[in-house]
Amino acid sequence: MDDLARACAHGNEDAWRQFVSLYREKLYRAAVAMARVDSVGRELADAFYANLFGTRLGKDGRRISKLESYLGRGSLEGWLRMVLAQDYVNRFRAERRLVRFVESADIRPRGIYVAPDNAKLAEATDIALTTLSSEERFLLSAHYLDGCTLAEIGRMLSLHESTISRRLEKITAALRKKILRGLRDAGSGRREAEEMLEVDVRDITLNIRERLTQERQGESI
Amino acid sequence: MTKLPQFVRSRLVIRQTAPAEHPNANLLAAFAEQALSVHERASVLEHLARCPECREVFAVGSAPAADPQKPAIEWWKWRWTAAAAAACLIAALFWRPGSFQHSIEERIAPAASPSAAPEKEKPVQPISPVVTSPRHFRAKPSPPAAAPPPVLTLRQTVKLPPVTLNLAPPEPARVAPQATSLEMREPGRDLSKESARAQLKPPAQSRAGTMALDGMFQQRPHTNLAKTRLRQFSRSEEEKSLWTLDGVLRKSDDRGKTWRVVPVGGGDARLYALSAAGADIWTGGEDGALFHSMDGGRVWKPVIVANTDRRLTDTITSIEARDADWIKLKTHSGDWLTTDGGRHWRRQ
Repeated sequence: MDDLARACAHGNEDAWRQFVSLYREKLYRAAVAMARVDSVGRELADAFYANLFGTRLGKDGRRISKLESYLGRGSLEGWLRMVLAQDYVNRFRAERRLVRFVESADIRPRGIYVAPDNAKLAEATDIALTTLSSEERFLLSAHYLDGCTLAEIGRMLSLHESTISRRLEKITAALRKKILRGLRDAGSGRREAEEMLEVDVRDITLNIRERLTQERQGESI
Repeated sequence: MTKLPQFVRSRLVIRQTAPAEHPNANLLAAFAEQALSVHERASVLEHLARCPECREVFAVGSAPAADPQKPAIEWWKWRWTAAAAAACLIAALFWRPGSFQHSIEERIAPAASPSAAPEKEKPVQPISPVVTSPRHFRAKPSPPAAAPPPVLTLRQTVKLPPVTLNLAPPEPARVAPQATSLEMREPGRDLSKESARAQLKPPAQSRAGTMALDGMFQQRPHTNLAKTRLRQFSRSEEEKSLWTLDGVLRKSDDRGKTWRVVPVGGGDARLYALSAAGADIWTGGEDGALFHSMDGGRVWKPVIVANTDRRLTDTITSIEARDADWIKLKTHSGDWLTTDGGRHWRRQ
């Protein structure tokens, strides 16, 4: 464990002064970068700093500092950033839940649609996904599900975004091949397998207004 | 980027089943800094692949910190604007001022002659040598090429406001151009569509010690010349004379009180370009007609503009004479340049 963090956790004033001089500005900058709004970021950083200092007292009358949970696996700065990120995400999720509660009428049910006749495709896809490594699934999830950019994923994995792009291309192509092979193994023809993979009602965009207008015109005729 | 089929995405979502135990900030920080063992790294990565909440925290925690030293306006975001501004500045420095004259004149015309619009609606009056508006000098329309040139008797009727033709001592700085229009009416001609504006401006590049205008006003293409003919005034400090063009060359020796037609070369060609520097006058117009006078317009010499390939037959719309040898003509088909006083020409 970092000596500075240990000293701060034990309430050493000199250590706190040093901590403030070393990390307070960095914490502000990190919080502003996370919140993307200066005032929100500063508020987040101030609240986090209070938690680090310790606002609650233990049974022995000593302040309970969040720094006590730092184990020294990574750098103190990296740990501070991760804890700050956790605080921000928790705060954001709480606000999001409030918003969703108020606007619950607008929320669509988040069910996973699986057409019954796509059982073969689902099985082939699941098998193909299990063959992927954890890093490959992380890349797919971060990019296609979370909407992270290549640069963001690159920062997470300490890789260049072009590397992430190449890997994603490779993974996607390999996954497609595996699914098609699984479908053919299940008895589907090549063309049928490709159609099953390509045709998805969610990929089709319909102009409802245009369709309704056409239907109305058809009825009037 | 290859698109992942929606069906595959939906199956990927189904597999997002987060384990109950999440990696703490210590592990995530160490993972980000690649400080974990291979086994630990693989387990954290496996968790991240299946846990959207931890991915969110990890993504937020990996965001680069804001730079407080970064200026509010990042200069590199304005690099294209700066480049465009620099290009405009360079163009403004090196572009010959006469090139913009036409557009400038169009812009200042309504302001300079506010009475022009109402006068368009007036009925055509019999010819009268009396100037109806001293600030509006409206020329008669351009007749067809075959028609004889009009005989204009201005006598002492054209009075230009002294302030307009500021003939005070020569100024090195540019005199603000003032449009001056006079109206001459003639029976049977629709004068409403025509206007001639004269502008006075000191030379951009005059010969030594002279205050003369040379080729400053560029005119419209030939088709537009009939509609709006520019009057080109030039001023000779030595002779206190004014020159103007409205198809024919005119000269005033009394600061614009009276004007007389200066016969040039005896041809019928209409003249649209003028450059006067002291007693050295160049004028040109239709069919490549170019005339040169070295004695203030008393004796004119026709100049044939040709190179080894062809002879200029287009209308000369502008003449720029930087000195006695360097003369540049502008036509619709290109520019012609001489550097030996008109003996040899080359097309540009």
